Amino acid sequence: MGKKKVVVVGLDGLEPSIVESMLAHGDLPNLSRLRAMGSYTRMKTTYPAQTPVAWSSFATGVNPGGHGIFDFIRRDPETYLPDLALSRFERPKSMLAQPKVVSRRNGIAIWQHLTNAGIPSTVLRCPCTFPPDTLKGTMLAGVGVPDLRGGQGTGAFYTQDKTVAAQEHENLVPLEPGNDLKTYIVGPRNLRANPPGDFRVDIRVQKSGETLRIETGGSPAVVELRERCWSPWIRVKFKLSMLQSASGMVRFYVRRLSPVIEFYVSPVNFDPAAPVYPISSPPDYAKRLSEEIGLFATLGMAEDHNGLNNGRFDEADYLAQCNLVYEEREKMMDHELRRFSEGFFFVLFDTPDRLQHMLWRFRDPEHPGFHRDLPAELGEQVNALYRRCDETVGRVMERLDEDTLLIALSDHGFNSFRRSFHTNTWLWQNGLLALKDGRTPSTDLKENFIGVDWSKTYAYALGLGGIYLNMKGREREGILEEGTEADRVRNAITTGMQGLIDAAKAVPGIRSVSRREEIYSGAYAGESPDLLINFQPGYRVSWETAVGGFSHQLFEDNTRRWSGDHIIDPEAVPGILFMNRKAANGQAKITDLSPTILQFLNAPGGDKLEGKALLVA
Amino acid sequence: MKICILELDGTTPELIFNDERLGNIRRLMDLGLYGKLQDASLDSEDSSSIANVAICDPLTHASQRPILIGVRSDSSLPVNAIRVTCVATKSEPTEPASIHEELQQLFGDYAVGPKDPAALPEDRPLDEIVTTSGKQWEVARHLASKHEWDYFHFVETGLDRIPHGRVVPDYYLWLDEQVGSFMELLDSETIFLVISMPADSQDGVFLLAAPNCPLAGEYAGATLPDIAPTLLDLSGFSIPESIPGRSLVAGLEKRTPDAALAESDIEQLVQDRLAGLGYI
Repeated sequence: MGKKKVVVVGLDGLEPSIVESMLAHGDLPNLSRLRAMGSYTRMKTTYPAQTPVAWSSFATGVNPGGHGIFDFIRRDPETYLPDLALSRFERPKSMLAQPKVVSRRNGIAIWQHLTNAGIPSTVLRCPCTFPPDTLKGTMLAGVGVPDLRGGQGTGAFYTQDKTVAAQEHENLVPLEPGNDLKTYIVGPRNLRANPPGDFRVDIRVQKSGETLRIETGGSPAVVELRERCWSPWIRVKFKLSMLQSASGMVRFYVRRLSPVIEFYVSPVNFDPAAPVYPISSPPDYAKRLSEEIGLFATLGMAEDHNGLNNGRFDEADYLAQCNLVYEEREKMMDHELRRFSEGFFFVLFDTPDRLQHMLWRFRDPEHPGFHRDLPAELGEQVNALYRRCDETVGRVMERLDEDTLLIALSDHGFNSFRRSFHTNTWLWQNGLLALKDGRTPSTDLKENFIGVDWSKTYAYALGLGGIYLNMKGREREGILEEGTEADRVRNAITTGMQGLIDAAKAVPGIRSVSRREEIYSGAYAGESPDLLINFQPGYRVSWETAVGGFSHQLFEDNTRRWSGDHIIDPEAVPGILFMNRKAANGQAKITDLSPTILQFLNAPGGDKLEGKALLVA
Repeated sequence: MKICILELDGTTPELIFNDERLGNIRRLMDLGLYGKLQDASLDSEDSSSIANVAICDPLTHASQRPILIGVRSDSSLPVNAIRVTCVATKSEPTEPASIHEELQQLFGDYAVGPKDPAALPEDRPLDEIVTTSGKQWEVARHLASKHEWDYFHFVETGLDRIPHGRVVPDYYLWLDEQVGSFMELLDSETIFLVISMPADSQDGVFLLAAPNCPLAGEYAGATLPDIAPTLLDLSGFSIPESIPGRSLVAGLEKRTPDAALAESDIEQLVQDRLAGLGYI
């Protein structure tokens, strides 16, 4: 008998109802075979049903109260401003020190238990592994790795059309008229410049017939692109000073060459060979991997949903870019699986999640973004990607031996995002949130709680479903004391929102509201939102609420291209779980995976976790 | 103002200044003052005693609480001094005894170094040298962060343990990480100096960063005896007339230290973190 192995293939956001229907139609032959060999079940996900939260519970075997990741977004109780919740920004101690990023994920991950037991792991792109953990084995960080500007992905759009304005989270670079142009790639912010600006790499673009010739200022030095094509990765170096530089890489995409030249440059990804911050463990692993398999996207959210949302390219071009990411990931997986001989292997394919977010409206005739004249085959692309995921699992199955436990799972399902809910507007309408100077909620107050009178505010909403009480001693201008007063506010919200009707549609938009003590336990439970809204399928918190904003309406159509989502009542969006072993009866939960894996590998630690091992003994 | 010195024994200007991969060294060069260091013909038989006369003695004299690691020091130490011995530099025994016990307990045999570097095999693996030096750096980081000091001086001797003639750029890369780790743990009231002593015909190197230093960039023509007066000048001590050399910043108005990053910059950095998240 060989050494015991566990291989986990994560398929982010695969929806059980789609999987089951495709299985029934014989559309997913490999997953079907896997089910026959072992088991398939729907799997309970976390509160809330979100990628970083769910994968952290997968990794640690505890509910979010035990690992501290509750949402993509958190608020700083000192400023009430939104911040990324996956990691913490640490201000430098002195002029010599560098700004630092520290992971907020706590708890003990599978690979840390295994490291303690001397068992190696290969972990590819698991969310919330930035900065990467030290471990026996190798790790490449996933969701949470920023671009060179420090965000989750800011691309740049270049155009000769003077009427074009910058959209959300993008840099707009105007181009002069002509066919031979000098411009630049927008790099990291230069905070020391006065006024602050951006570091740049100069480039030259020349239109010649059907192609755009780009002198990239990097490597390769020249690329020629036709309309609607993506370039390979281009390595560029931003000179930060006479002595220092920062390496990055971009892909170019040409939107059109006439009547005006327009092109797009992807967010500047860290160069795996010289990342600004370590993105792998050991730190030189990313470099070695890129030498072995070629360059790959390092940005946490590698699929460029933002460029599509802003209309800088269309769905077909987004699909092409998603394909590039998927291919890189598959190459990475194949390469590492070939040398995998012992312990734990994890790889995540994020693409199904990112594709469903952007293409869902094509499969939902009731979506406000659905039009009869839209190309119907785009909705079918979701199924095509499910089939591709099935093929990926098939490739892994070919490598299995009898000592290997294979797990294929999704962290949550998917649903339509037709209508959005403005939580802060509801709180204002119900006298729980006050605005200064007689102002009323509107999209003028679109973010950062502009106009909020904290001295009369009991509760406020920020992030993707959470509500916070304005607590004395916790929030900077908190007014609520713990006890009956705070309970009165909690009750007002839970009873007031329970089954709340969307008047325009005459159906409920919200199922219920959970109090944090009902859903979380553990050392970090106190850091979660006080309340969590469980939306009905079809509904989600509004774009404005997520960043502390308002609208004059309570419910509103979601007209963005981002048209599918999963941040609804977690009971409505379970994940899927396939194993090549029989599972015990009973409801499987995402926290069960960690004990299952540890038990299979005979490593201690699993019995202390919340979940139960799933395999039949 | 406190003074922290990392003395990298045996480094050369070419390898320090010309390797772009040395990110922390580059950052230091950008932040402060740097250049080659000539020895100005101090009379001494070996490099460690040059350092001793030119730097360690005047600073120890000015200091109330020095921590010296692997430094050979002739001058008498103040009551609160900590001295850690190093076999490689043949420095005096560790004192006080409580520190010896503390280090022994934490790090085992900490006074690392070869008895006779010349006897080392040519193919000695770099890993082994790094492991040995790594312990020295751990001792240094421990003392720098857990004990009080106003003058901290650590002599790194790893390059002495690499047989002569071997190409050592990878060791420089590792050293750069160690220097970076020190840069992270110092507070904003510290003058930071990375130095290698000139020896024979070989120039030394200095990289100096201080929040109040009025000069920045490359400095040509500095000599070893200038370093101690410069440090004393920046830290606000008076410069004894007996010591040779002159402060490189003599007569210049000290800069008012500015914050590493302004509050508005930090806010901007935090807001930037959400850009492109998709869910917002």
